[in-house]
Amino acid sequence: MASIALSIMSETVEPLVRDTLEAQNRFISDNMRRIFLLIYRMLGNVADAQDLTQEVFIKALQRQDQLKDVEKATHWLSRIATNTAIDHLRRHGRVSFCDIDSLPEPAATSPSESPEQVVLRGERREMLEGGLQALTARERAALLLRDVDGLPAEEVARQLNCSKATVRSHIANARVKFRRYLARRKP
Amino acid sequence: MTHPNESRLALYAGNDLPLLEGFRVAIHVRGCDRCSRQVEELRGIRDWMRLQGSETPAGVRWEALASEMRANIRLGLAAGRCVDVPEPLEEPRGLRWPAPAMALPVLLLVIVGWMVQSLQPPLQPASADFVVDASSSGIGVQRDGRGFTLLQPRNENVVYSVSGEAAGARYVDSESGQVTISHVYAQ
Repeated sequence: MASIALSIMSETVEPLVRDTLEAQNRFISDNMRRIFLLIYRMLGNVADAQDLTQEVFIKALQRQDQLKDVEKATHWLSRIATNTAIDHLRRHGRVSFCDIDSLPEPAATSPSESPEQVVLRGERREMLEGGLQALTARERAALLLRDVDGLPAEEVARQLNCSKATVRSHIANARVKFRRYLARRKP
Repeated sequence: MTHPNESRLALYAGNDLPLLEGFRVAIHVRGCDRCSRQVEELRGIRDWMRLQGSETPAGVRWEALASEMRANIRLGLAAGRCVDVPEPLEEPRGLRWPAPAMALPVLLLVIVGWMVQSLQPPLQPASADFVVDASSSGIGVQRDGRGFTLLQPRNENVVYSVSGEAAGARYVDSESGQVTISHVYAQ
């Protein structure tokens, strides 16, 4: 009798659990790359970006009951990611982009890329990372959210928990510094 | 011609200026080659950054990294469920009102205290047959031939004072330097 009751229960519960798991997996897959890249651009370190990305998703999924509006999920996740990255920088000091040569695995190259293209790609990446390194954590976060993620300034202000005027100031400083950095690098 | 400063142009390039200010800068930029070039350059940097920002860091095999992170997130969520603190049990109904239950004895105590105080006879002023005196042996109070004297040590430096219904003695111990002050009151 007990086994019958148990099997009826499991039939009722399993689809719900499966649905929740599927929804969670979808949520992770849809957002993981974006969140990882956002954190990586802020920290400049793959290992730290990996750890924090995992932490962000765990935090978000543990509090998913707060997420009433699915449309706002991406902004909410970015907010957690930005704050987690800024907290990390506050605790561990300035950003340090790791040397490409020190990476454990060889750079992923497309078979169609010529050696010249690979070198150019490396240079461009180095320029981006160097430019971001010249910014403060908040300027970097504001610039990445506004210019790379394309969020409106109001949303960037919400994510950084500051006023729109402050965010404008961060964005303006970041763009000016970045432009000057690139101008200095020009031959 | 007054050019807008670099920060203002940086904000204008990203459509981040308020409407009226943006309109003013737009009029200027339309007629100024130098500022127009700068705005174009800033927009070019933004587009370039957006493109670069979506690239996976060098040496990262995204699929492998993503599946590792997914597995770690699942593990983290499972570990989180294991250490979740269960919801506190609902308190019995009687314990929901601790404040009124504690307030009642306090209120009773205040009422009893007030009643005891109001039943006590008021302090009587000292009657005329009390005599307060100070002599070479000490200070004291006498009534109907009875009384007491607070004896002072034999000390040449005792200073006595008598005023109305009180007498006082003050002396300094020559060995220890300690000051002793005594008073007697008649009530």
